[in-house]
Amino acid sequence: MSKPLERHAEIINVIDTLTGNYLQGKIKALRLSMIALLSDGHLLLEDIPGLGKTTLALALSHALGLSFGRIQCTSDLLPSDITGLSIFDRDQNNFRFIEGPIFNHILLADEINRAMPKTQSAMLEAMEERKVTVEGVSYPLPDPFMVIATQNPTEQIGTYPLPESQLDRFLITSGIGYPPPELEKQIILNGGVRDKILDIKPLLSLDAIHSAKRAVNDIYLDAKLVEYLFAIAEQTRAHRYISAGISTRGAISMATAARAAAYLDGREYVIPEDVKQIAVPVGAHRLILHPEHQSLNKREVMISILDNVKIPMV
Amino acid sequence: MLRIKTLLDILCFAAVILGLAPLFPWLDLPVKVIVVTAVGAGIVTEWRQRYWLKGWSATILTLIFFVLYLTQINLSNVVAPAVNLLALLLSIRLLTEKQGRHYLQIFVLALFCLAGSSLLSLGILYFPALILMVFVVTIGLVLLTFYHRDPGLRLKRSAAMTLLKTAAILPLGSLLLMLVLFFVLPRTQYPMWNFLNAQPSAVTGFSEQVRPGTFASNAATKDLAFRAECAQLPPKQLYWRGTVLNSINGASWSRTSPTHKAERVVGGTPVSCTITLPASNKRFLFTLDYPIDLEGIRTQQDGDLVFSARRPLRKGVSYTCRARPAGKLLAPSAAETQQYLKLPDQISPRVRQVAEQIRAQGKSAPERIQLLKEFFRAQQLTYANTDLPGPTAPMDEFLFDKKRGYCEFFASSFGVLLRLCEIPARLVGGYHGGDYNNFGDYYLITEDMAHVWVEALVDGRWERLDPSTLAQNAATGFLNRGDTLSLLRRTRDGLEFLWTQAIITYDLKKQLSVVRSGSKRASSLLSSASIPATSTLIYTAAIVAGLFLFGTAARWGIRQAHLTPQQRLLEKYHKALQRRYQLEQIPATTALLEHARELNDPNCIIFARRYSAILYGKKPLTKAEYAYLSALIQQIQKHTAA
Repeated sequence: MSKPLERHAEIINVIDTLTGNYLQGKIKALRLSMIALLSDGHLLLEDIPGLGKTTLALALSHALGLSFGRIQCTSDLLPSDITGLSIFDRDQNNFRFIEGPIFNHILLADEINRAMPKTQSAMLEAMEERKVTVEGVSYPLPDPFMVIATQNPTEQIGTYPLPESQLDRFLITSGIGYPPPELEKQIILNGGVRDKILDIKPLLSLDAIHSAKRAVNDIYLDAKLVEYLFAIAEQTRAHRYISAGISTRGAISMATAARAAAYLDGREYVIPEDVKQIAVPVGAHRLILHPEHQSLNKREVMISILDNVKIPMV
Repeated sequence: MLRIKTLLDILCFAAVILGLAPLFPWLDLPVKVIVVTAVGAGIVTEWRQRYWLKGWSATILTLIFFVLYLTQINLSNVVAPAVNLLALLLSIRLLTEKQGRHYLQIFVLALFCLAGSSLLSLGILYFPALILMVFVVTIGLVLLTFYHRDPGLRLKRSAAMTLLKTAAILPLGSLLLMLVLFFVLPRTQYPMWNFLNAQPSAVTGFSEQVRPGTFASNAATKDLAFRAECAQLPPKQLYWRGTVLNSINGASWSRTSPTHKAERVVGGTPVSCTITLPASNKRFLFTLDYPIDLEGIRTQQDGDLVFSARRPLRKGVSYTCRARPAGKLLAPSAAETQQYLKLPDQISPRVRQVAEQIRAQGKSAPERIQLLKEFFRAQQLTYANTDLPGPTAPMDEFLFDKKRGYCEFFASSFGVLLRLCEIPARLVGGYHGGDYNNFGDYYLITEDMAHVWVEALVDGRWERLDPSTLAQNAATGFLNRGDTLSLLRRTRDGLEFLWTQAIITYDLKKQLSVVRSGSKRASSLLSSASIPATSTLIYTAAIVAGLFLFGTAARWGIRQAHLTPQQRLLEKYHKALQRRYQLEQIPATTALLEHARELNDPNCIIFARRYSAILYGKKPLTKAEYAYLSALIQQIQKHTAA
């Protein structure tokens, strides 16, 4: 068993450095991506282009010393464009597997909803299985492995929206949002930070990330909080706007994410605030609303549910 | 899972017991037996679901009882057969199979039984019975509607609790209404029926005549005679004057109103004493011996300090009597002693002989009295209530043969002998003694304290002589008559006194008169002793406040006992926050730390963190931690004052 809160300081240091120097005003998104990374999940950023999704992913990978791959999804993107393919090597006289961009620690899949379903499902399968099988041979993906997918919520023409079952594969869905006005003015004045990011020196070793992940796993989750998580899940299932609430996998994801949130907060145990903090990013996209309520914002629905579940106090 | 029928059955039997219990003492003996059997058997049959009576047999029994009691009803005897019949109908209903309407019948009959009991007595038992009955019947009716829909209905325990709680709102509301009606509606101070048609009772207590020898035994009861609020007095002074018997006719002493001028009381310190007399339908007003005057009631006073009301006491009265218990009773200067020297027609030779001896030996009245006392002592008389002298020559038999009797024997013999010795004498009837109740600072005088003593005119003053003290067993037999009341009985009597004061004799007229003269007597209003109505109000308020306090304290106690240290801490924290920030209760859906951050109070954040660690982490709540957190809460709260 690892030491409690192992490598906590270093992880926090990464967040502080990034938000302090490079990613001003993105602390929430950064924390969420850190939570996703620590709990072995994937992140779906739903926001309009130009708010720094790529910057976020790049900065994170550089600071953590992880490899980074990027796919710009289009409707003619093929599965092999992601996973890689075997090509015939004339010199060796055999087939050689060329790894696709998915064989990176952090993969940015831009505008994932533009890829055709076949490609989407190939990638999502890899996300779940953490390995790629090409022509009968399985190639394991690196650890840690995190996909940061983005999608544009406003443009709907020529897209293949992710089916709910596949949305479930993402641990966290979040927006980035505009930076605060003062900060935005600063950014306009100084220009982007993309170049600076490329110079970020790794702040963390791969080993440190592994032990941090183990430490997250050891965070204590009290029976009261299990009760609370269950109550939230049950409420979503009984809600009158929702046809399918949070699944058992969804509840497990919430517990894992809550653990990671507690870890980031420097606690060895989960408290209800952690659950509340991650409930919307982890839970909202898993809700399937009744057709007549499709227009509702799932996040608002999730918040209203949280406001109806009692905190276990005794 | 709870069967709704089980709940309904419980309520149904509760209603039956509540209805029958206050009525029970008034039922005929066979009916009592039937009722007890029926309730017991009803519970058993309900349990086994096998019923004793089928529909037709129940109908026949009902008819028989109807005829039986219908024939007994006449103008002067309505209520007794009616309540007996009600109790019997209820018993029959308990033994048959019950469907919806039968439950309804049982509730109605039980309610009628309780109402019937109020025609016969206005005891304190009626009040709790009524309140419980209101609850039981209303909740029962709500359940009945469910039962009517689906007799096999089962409810989850939580659902049943919710149902019961909701149903309890109705009776609570009606009780509040009852409180309002209590102040508004006219009321009676005596049980409507039983009182006006009082049955002659064989139980003795205070009586208007003294006729030794009429009963072979004298049963003493612990029934209330009256209550007297006053400071505690020496036991020797506890003589309560009721009437003076001055004429002898045969063996019996009776009263003819004296025509002479009023006697005067001198000496001794005056004592004020408030006497509360229950409704008696008689006119006697009891006073502490020797009385000076009465206040608070219209009276008629005779020369020998006997007070009586202008009309029979149909409701309980309360009056203040001033008395000088250690004083002397002076006869008017031109006393007509002739009346007090009349002798009965037949006096046995043995008695005459004794009197002659005493007359010869003693020259003055005090000497003769002394000799007479010695004679009584020498006879070794026993104070007793059984095996009494017979009616033919009770005095002779008492003094020389049986040598046992109760106060009437002692007093009448002593009185006759005094008169034979040419000393004017009369008998005083009243009560002697009293149980002092510290709970309400009053004396409780019960019927078994009824007493008769003698007053003799010596040197122009009436001297009290109690010949019963001359009995050889006076110390045990007479002075300690009966058992002293147990603490339980004292408390119960204290409560009953409050009940009478606050509820039964509550009178709107008194209330209004106080309000009318309020402007003038605003200051004296506070001194409760002078205005009975105010004291009534204060009593009522005290009872309500007391009950409320008790209820709150009990609720608090129960809750505290159930609380874990964590819960107690949390409760304290909530209270502190409410005081400090005038907040409503923290919403149940807001977590502690979240809330503390919103408040932006560093102490609150510390508390929330540490408390969460205990609640959700594995950290145990040590004593030190508890103390630290308590101190922290204090600190949070203290900022209010600053």
